[in-house]
Amino acid sequence: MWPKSSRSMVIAGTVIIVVVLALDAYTHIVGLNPFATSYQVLSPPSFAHVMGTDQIGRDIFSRVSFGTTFSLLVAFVSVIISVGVGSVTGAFSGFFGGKIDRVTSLAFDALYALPPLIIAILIAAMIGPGIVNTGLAIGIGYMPQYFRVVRGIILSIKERPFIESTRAIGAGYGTLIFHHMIPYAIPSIIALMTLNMGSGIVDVAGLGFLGLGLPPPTPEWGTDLGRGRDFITSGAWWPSTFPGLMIVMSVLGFTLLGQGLDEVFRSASTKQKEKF
Amino acid sequence: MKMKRTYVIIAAIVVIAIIGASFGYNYFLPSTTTTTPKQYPTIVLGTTLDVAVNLDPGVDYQVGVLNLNNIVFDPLYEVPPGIYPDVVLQPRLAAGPPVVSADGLHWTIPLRQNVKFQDGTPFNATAVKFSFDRLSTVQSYSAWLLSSVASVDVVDMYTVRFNLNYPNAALEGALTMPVAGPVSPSAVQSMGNEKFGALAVGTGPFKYVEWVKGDHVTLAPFEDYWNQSRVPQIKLVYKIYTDSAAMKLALQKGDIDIAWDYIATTDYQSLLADPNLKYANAAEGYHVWMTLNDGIPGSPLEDVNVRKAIEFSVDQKEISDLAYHGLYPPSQDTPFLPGFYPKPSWDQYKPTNIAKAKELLTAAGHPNGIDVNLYFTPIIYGKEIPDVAALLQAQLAKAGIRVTLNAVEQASFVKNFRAGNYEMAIGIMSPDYPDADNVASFIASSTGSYSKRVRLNDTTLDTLVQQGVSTSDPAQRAKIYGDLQDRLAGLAVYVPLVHQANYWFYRLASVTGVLSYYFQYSPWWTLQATGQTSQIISSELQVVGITVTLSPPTFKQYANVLTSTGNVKSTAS
Amino acid sequence: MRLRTFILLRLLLTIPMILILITVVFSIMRILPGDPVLAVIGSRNASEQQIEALRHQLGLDKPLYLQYLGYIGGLFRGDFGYSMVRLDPVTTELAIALPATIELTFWSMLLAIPLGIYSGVVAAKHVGGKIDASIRIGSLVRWCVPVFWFGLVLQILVVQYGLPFPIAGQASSRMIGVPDVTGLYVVDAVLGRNPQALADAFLHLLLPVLTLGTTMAASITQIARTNIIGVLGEDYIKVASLKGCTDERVFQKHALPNALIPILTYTGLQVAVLLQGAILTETVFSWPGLGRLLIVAVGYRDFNLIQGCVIFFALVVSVANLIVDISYAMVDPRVRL
Repeated sequence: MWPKSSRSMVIAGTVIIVVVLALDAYTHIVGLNPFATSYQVLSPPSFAHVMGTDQIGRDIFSRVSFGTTFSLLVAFVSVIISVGVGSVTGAFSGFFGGKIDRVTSLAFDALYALPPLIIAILIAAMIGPGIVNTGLAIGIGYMPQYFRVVRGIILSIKERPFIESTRAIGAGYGTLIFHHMIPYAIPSIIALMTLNMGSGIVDVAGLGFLGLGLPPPTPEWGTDLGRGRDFITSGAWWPSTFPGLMIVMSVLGFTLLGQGLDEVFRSASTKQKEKF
Repeated sequence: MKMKRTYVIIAAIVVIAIIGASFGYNYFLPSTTTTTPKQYPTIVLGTTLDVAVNLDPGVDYQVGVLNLNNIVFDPLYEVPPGIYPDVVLQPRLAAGPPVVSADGLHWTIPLRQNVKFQDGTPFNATAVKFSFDRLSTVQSYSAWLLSSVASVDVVDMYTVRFNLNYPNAALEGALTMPVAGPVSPSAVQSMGNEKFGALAVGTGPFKYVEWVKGDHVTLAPFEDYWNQSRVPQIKLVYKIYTDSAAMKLALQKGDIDIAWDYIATTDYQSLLADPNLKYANAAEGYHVWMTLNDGIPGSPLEDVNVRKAIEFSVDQKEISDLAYHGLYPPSQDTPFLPGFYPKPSWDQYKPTNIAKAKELLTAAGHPNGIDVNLYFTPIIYGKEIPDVAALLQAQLAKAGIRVTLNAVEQASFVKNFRAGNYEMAIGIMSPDYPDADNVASFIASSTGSYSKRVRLNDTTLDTLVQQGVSTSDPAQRAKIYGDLQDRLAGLAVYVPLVHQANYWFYRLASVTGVLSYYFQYSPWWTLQATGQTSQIISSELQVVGITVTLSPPTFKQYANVLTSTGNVKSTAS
Repeated sequence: MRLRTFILLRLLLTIPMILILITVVFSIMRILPGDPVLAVIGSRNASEQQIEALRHQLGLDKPLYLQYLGYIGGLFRGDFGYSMVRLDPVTTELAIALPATIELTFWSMLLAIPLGIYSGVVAAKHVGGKIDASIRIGSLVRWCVPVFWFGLVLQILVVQYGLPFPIAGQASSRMIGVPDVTGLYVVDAVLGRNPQALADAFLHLLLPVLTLGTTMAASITQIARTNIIGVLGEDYIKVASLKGCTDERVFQKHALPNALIPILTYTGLQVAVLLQGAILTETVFSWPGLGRLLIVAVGYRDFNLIQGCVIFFALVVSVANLIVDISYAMVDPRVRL
């Protein structure tokens, strides 16, 4: 049914994500505390502290696993925002066409000209840190992608006979767009969303690294590894290494899943086309 | 695909060859330094304080530029080198002490003769007047230091008169700052203010030779300096690093000779253990403290007993040990420096006593604790601040004080902090010029910019501040400022945390010693370059009884060197 | 439509886009909480009058629309305004920082493009096999590694193993005598005939270029591989094979050139990613380029400097997109409609 390589990608991706979440759940169940300071400052990985301690004696393993929640949550918020706004405006813009379409396309093109990180930096500086705030800052930069994809799909099916006939029997615009047209876009959107979860996680970490992320003492991967920079020259490599590994793992999970889904949907649609 | 592979192999060989050649040149050939002709040995100072704005002493007020301008511009008066129980300001470009009129509004100052500017033009009263008048024409961040002066008159070639808006015993202290250092009028007139900012001209022992923005500033000796016994025999390069880790590496590699302000506390450890390096240190003037706002309606902090509970809950030693690695000593006082009537009035809240804190809270009607907000900004006051905040949160929690942490970025923080909107905040405070009134008026008087941050409004304190600045009798001032600090401690609007301590690491291969002075505004320091006898090079820094030990002396040890009535013998009559 | 018309129209479209962008950024700046004058003053103690005087001198007390008009007017004259933090024209600051970023991105792409295409080629030629699988996995994993963490890890390795590479900055402090002609250290060292400085410049470029270059190479590899596989499956390749050409010739003369165009155009579209990567790489390695300048400017709320940097980034991305669109239009007439 599914091509072999994409099947293994989907499976691999899902497994990795599950492992990451399980690690996070483990720390909550066992009751580890990512905020507890101690006099064991900057101690290397050991049995007591598997990933070592940071500059005020906090256990890095607890912080890294706890950080999963925040990173994934903010990435999720950013994806929801960009999908929500981008897709809906793309659908309406593509459907109605004309001047509205040209203006909206221009606006989103302008947005597209700015690298998403810069947009995120400006907005994060403007509205300050917080789960929703940071999610919004990141999400805005990705809206143009969904806009384009959905608009493209809407444009391509707009002229199809079944749309005209549905209009003819009196369906309203809302029903037409949401019930009949957007479903065609869903496969592409889902793959894109999953991939953007990965980008979202990296962006959250990037903002944290630059000091614009979730406020201290929140355990966040990017912030922690950014702070760890100061100690590299003193020989403490663990504060920066482990959060980074977690980032790579979780992004890898979502990317594998996303690319796998993308391949699956693409082969499914070619098969669909072949039927005609 | 043989052809493509060949290309790849060739490309790889070329790349490796380039890298290999780079190694060869850098590490196996003798290093030649700059291509500029060397008449003097060059000492390279590393710093993380960027000279971002301008070298013009009338404009900039950043510490990095102050360090430099102190050796390029002579002020009228100076804090002399050495450790003194009583800090007595001495004339530098002035020829003697100021003669103050009976109403305190006119200061007549004689000027030293036969002094030249670095461009060869003569120094005289006209230059002093020009320098002062100029301040209102440039975008100055430092002119406020002289805001008590309304105008300057030329009495004759070598006498000036400062006309004040109000009597101000602290003026002499303000006159030791570079903003009051006369600039060469002809240089300003020929270069224009903007270009002057790029290579400012004064009368000091060093002159600016080159400034590559963001990278380095080069200074050379001014051979016609009026004090011929103090003409430097070295060239200085002030190299700017964007972060302390890079500077530390440069020091260890030998790219710089001295790592000056500031190496982060995180980088000290490996440096302390390095046998090629030595260090000079001092507890400097800036304090890290927490502010408690007593004027926010509805806040539990309106009650002084609640604020006292907080004072009792804070464990300064833990903050010093954990956040600052024990390198910044815990503090029990405010920035009244040795020589300027310091009093450790916050001792009453030590040792840390959680039980007492809880008692006070219950007595104030909060048996179940309180909820408060602590604001801080992560970067400008030092990278350790978020750690300090996390520690404070944990410490106060033990007494039932539940703290919500708010990290605010710089611009917002400064605005709201100054407006007094923050219930609790972490800030720093350091004096600007050598006089006790500088600190007192900022932190104790109700019009002071720091007092406004905690909405402090106390008539007793206002009276004390007023008395302090109006009298010049040292014994009286000691009593006044002592009472002031006691009352301030009693009001518990400031919680002292730690004292910044500076460590200057230098390479033994090129520098044999650095003596620095305890008080930030002393304009001379001694630098001994290898192979030279002791040379007073000049600049401003702190006094140290140099002890090269691994545990830094606390501020109290310095205070003990001086008498308890350290005072400024102002020569104003 | 004709090519010329298309190019003109695209160019004309770019201008309103940039204008919209400037307006949006301008408004965001003014909505930002926090006062730039206070941000610059920071922890120093200055009186209220001085602060007000500064505000007036910087033109921040004028009504918003006047500030906006003044700014736009200035832009047409090439005047990007005055940086409040550095107290000199924004164009000066941009001019100082730009060469550093150009140097970094240039050498990074010089590494990324050949590396990416070569890996893609090797993978495509062994499609389905172990080599292909390892290249795919390798580039995928590398793609998932954040660029700033990669740089940090390189620094950690250098420190832990005591390798003699510089881990920060663009040059050593002893390299003071090199004349500053272009701002590109490598070029200046060559012009100044200073082999030591040249070696120093390369050594400082090594880690940052490795970081940014491999990051970009990861995505280029994937695209190259996909495109070459796609091209190899085309009919005309089969025809060339049947004609009797050796595999090598088929590849070099037919497959590769056809695949190169979409690969390179994709690379052009990656400029935004490149700039983002440059910002983070510059921060990690304390590289004095535009990216770091932007971060500093944001911290100080230096409106004009922020606007200058953002406009600059947007211009670069727009120009890159423009070139890509035009090259597509030149190659494929259908696009011009």
